[in-house]
Amino acid sequence: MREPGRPVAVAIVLALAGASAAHAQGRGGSNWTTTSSDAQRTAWVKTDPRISKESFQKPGFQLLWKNKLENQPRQLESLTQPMLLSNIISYKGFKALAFVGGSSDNVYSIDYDLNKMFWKRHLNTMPAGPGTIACPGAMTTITRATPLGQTTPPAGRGAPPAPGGGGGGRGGNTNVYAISSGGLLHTLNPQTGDDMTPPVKLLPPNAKAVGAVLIDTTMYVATRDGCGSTANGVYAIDLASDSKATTHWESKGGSVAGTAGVTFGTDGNLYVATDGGAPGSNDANAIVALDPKTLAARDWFSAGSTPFTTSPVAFTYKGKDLIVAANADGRLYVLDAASLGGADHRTPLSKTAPYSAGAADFAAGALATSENADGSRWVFAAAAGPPGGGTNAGSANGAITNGAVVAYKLVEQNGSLSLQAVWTSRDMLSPAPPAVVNGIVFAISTGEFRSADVQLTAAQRAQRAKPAVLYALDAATGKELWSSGNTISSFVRGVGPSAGDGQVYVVTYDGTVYAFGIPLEH
Amino acid sequence: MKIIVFCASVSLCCAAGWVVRDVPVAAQTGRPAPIDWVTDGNDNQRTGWQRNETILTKKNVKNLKVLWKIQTGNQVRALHSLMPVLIIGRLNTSNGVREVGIVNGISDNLYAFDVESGTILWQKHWNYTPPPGSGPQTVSTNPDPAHLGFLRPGGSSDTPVIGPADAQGRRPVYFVTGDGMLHTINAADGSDLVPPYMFHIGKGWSLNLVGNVLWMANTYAGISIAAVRVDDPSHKVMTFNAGSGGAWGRRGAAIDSSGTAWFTTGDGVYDLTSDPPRYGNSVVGVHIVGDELKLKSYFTPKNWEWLRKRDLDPNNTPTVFTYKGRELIAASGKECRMFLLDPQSAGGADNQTPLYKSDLFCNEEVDFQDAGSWGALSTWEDQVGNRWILAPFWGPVHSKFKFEITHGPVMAGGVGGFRLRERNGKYDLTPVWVSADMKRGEPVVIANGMVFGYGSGEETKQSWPDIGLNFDSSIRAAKSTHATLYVVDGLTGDELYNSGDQITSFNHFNGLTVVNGRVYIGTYDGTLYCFGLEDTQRTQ
Repeated sequence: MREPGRPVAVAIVLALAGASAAHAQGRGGSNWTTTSSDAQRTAWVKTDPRISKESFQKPGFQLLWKNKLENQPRQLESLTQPMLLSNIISYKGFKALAFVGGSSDNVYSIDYDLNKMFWKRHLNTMPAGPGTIACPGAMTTITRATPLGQTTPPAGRGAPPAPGGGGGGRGGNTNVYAISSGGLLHTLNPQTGDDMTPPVKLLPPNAKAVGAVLIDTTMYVATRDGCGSTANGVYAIDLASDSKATTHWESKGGSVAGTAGVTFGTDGNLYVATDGGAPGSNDANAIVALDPKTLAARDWFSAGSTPFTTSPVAFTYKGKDLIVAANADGRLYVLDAASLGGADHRTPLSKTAPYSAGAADFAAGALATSENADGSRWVFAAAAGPPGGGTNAGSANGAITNGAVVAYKLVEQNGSLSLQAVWTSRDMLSPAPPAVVNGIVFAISTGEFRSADVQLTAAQRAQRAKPAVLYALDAATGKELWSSGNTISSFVRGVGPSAGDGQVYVVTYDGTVYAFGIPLEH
Repeated sequence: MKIIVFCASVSLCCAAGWVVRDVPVAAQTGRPAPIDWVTDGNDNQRTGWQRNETILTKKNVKNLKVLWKIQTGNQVRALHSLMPVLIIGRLNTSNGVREVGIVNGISDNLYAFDVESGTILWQKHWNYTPPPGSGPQTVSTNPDPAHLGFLRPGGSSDTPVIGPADAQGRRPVYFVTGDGMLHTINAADGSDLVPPYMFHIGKGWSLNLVGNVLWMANTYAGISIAAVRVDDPSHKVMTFNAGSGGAWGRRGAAIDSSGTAWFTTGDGVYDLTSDPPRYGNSVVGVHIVGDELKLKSYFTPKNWEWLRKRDLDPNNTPTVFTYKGRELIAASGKECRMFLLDPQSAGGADNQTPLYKSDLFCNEEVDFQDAGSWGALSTWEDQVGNRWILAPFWGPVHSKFKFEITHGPVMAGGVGGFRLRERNGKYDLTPVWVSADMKRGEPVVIANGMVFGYGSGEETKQSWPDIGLNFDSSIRAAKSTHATLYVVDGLTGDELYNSGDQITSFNHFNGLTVVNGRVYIGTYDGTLYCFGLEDTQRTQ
């Protein structure tokens, strides 16, 4: 039976010590609710009950389970990044669930402690066309409700039910949101996978949706690559409204860059990075700030002729609201949210030296950021190819020929902020966006075959790919602490790991979910 | 006065220092004189074993019928209504010697009834204002107490205990009302034998009286167990706080031969570094040292974090018994394993190593609400000296766990019969039989080789897909069906009797009493049922 008073205790602990301080005591953990973990796209799990530098001092981290889902890849798209619900009191008891979207309009709910399918749901939608690699006609994003700050566990048993009733087993909104390849937004009951409400039209069919995130009652999602005759940009819909009208910001010819879509800044604005666009347009190769209600552009920074390659990441540092994004020029740009590009919209706070020589068809996708106990701020980026010419990339962890993760520390010199490269990881093939868990960087050498040859089919690319490898790296040094070796048998299509509650998840092209962690005795 | 010589097991119990009542036979009728059932589970070891039953037999039990039923009028609070019945076989009343039953209702009611006629002899009700912060769990705007949260109903949740006769032949009934006051009531007329005094507030469970010490395991109380010497004029209350999770075993504590009170702790952490240490998800033994309660020993499963994560605490009352000269404890809970523990060192050197741990016998779903073993374990010894442990459970049998004898698919719950074995100092439990399906198997009583159990018929969910988690008890009440009494052979689990739909309401956290040829069960609607045999059927 339930320990009395725990909800109050949790609330106090959270208020005093941050999101996950209580998690080490047992039930539940932090929740990875959207692509790159949170609305700021930090890909950072602050604390964890079992993953830490100390726990990596001894053996134990290992493959816990894998689960091959019956999902048909579409082109190269297969599974979405798993979203986590670390504790729901369901009609079948306390469950810890990982939600995974499948490209063929499937949504899976797996009890992640037991590798047991809790439910699976196929979304009825229009038959998919053959698609292309760029426009696969697939379901590409799912999400959960996400708080504007770092995710915190919901209230305890006895807390008020979710607004709108039903589904939620523990207070708060625990629903699962999926955008089908047909463009319908489904609100799924986390206990059963059933639609909580009738699906609503959000996007045209076969749009390529990226980084859906639900803030309060509004769903935001980006579209890219002009798929399904959809204008690239950002779409929003207030699910609490009667009209369910869609608000739209169009990137005017460019595409939305990155795998995480839109980013909520710590100042409350919405930020989106673009890839291309009409020459001279404010939105071309830019970081654009949008009003979260109207999606009207409020500010922008233009990098000039080179496109951005990641979604922005947002954080605060010494009272400043900062935005960082990676560009195809191999640099990271640091922007002040208060004035993205200064008066001329082209002046960042700072930009790094090129960290990568780049590689064909590679985009870093998303960044990760974390803050150390000493208050230092770090940013981690995936890079392809050997280090960029003349880059001081800090300490190396071996020769790099294919790619690596590069770690930067934010430094303040003479009143100006800049990112200073501290380390580069071991060599990795087409690394995916990393995640940071309690001082450990998890990075995937995806094994994906990248080529600028547009004639290569998805099947040919898949055939030439190599199995992915998950690495655990010391966030301070980049030292390799652990690797999955040859555990993973397929490649990863640009999807970074998600993590929480002592486990790290990798999804592969062949439809397999891998869970790594330190076993908890059952 | 004639003394019936019982089975060999009785002499074993006597050798272990346990109290076994002699069975007098009324000279005029030839029937055994009625005996007592003075505490929940029949004894302080919480065995649930009624050793002296002779009226009900495997042959005639099929003729059980409802002899009478009483509508007590008790107001439901949350899902609680009546608690298990206590019986005084021969009590001097103003109307002469009577066999008298005592039952309490959750709304601070105490009833005494005449067993033969099924009529109320007296009843008492207490009114009070709950101390601040100690009230029931209000989860609805509806003021009807039936809407209270089921975790914390308020009111008098403890089953009383009856003490021995005083110099005037009066039998005291010890009973704690929802305001934490301990009442010492004359069983004959309901008058106070001692002015009431504060014992402890909380969600109290069945009381134990061991010599002059009254124990009450508790939850939502800030402590886990309280004790008071009933002859202490200062009424000093001794308490022990296991620091995490309340005690949840329905029969309260089980007392071993050293006087140590054993109870299970609910959902909570195990942390010896905290002050005080925290013993969540554990089996804890405390004893009196001077005028304080001190930890004697404990067992915390190595997977306690998992149990906490999924709310699978060992929430039922353990049972204490002696086997081949050694005292042992059996325990279980929502996780649905059986544990055997040594009361001298419950968890061994590391406090986490039991004498024996079974595989999961139910709760494959890992569900804290519809599965697992709830309430209390029971134990008995058959005529050839086999020691049996009986575990009620909810939900299906685990698909990988095999009982030797089955009685059809078990989906909603049942009772498992385990036989204890010792080899070279090692103990294990053989899963011999599992009953037929019961809607939520509840703690059993063993009498004359038969196992008396019941399915509560209760809807035990706390969360539903359509409405989510909701503590309003009325939702569960509306989805519940009715309790069913079962009698099965203690050696095989073969069904000897079931009450069908004679009981029309369900119950929550109740318990059976089987004594003097009668079976008592109370239900949510405030009805007390008495099953028994017509005189003509006793020999059939």
